[in-house]
Amino acid sequence: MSQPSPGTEPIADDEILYRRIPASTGWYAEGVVSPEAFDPRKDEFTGISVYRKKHKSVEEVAKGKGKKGYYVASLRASDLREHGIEPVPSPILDADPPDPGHAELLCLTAENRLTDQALEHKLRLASLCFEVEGPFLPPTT
Amino acid sequence: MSMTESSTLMSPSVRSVVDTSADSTSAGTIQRQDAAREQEFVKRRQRWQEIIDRRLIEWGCDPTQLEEDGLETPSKRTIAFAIVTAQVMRDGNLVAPSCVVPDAQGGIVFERRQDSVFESVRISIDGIIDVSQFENGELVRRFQIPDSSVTDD
Repeated sequence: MSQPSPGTEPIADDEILYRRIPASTGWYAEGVVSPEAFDPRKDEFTGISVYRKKHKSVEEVAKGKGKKGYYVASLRASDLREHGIEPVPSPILDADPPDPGHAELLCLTAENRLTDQALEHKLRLASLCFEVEGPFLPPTT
Repeated sequence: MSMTESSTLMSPSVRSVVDTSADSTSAGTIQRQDAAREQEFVKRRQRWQEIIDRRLIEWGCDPTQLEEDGLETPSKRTIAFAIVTAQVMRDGNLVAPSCVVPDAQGGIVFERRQDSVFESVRISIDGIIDVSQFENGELVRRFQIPDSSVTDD
């Protein structure tokens, strides 16, 4: 019997999820996370991206092209579910390298981002961040 | 701008500094109240001007500082519109926001937090101003101002 692909297993209540926050945006400043840190991008059609600590380290989450680097905010899956926000596994297995840690919050999409409920979800998510690490600066060349 | 709706972010008045039943009408008390209001007005105006000068105008001069992979950068047009909006709100003696940030799709958002209240004024790329007020995380008021109603005269 074949093993299930990594990252496809359901997200447990006690899992930690990471949200990457570009430092240049000001979405994390003076100890406060802005709801805009959870605003869907134009290409986030199915949900906003979060990452499972189980499969991806905070340093790996913080890697990106941003010139000023990134912060990484932590959330608990149980806290999200308590407020009606369901995280779902969404591993990207055909990428190089694969990303089994990718997950999504389906309640926030590029299409619904300005609905009343989406605005409440964004504010709620900002308040549920229990830790923010960083900034993780890009490597100097 | 047509400010027919009111919210904490848009509150124009200040509570009385002195509020006693013993003496609320003497010239000295009224003078102190007026001085306190004037001081508050000046502080608000200064805070708005900081936002206009140190954030919005700087962004307008160099929008590339907001460029991020995957995010829409606010255009110069949107930034200019945000500046006009801020000036109108400043001149209307409205409470200044705690911060100004871009959103993920080219808009600009003024945010204000006070105790259990969170307010946002979002200037979207289509020129619509969207005002939202939350109490304890719940949306309690929301309205929009179309761009045609905003003038800087």
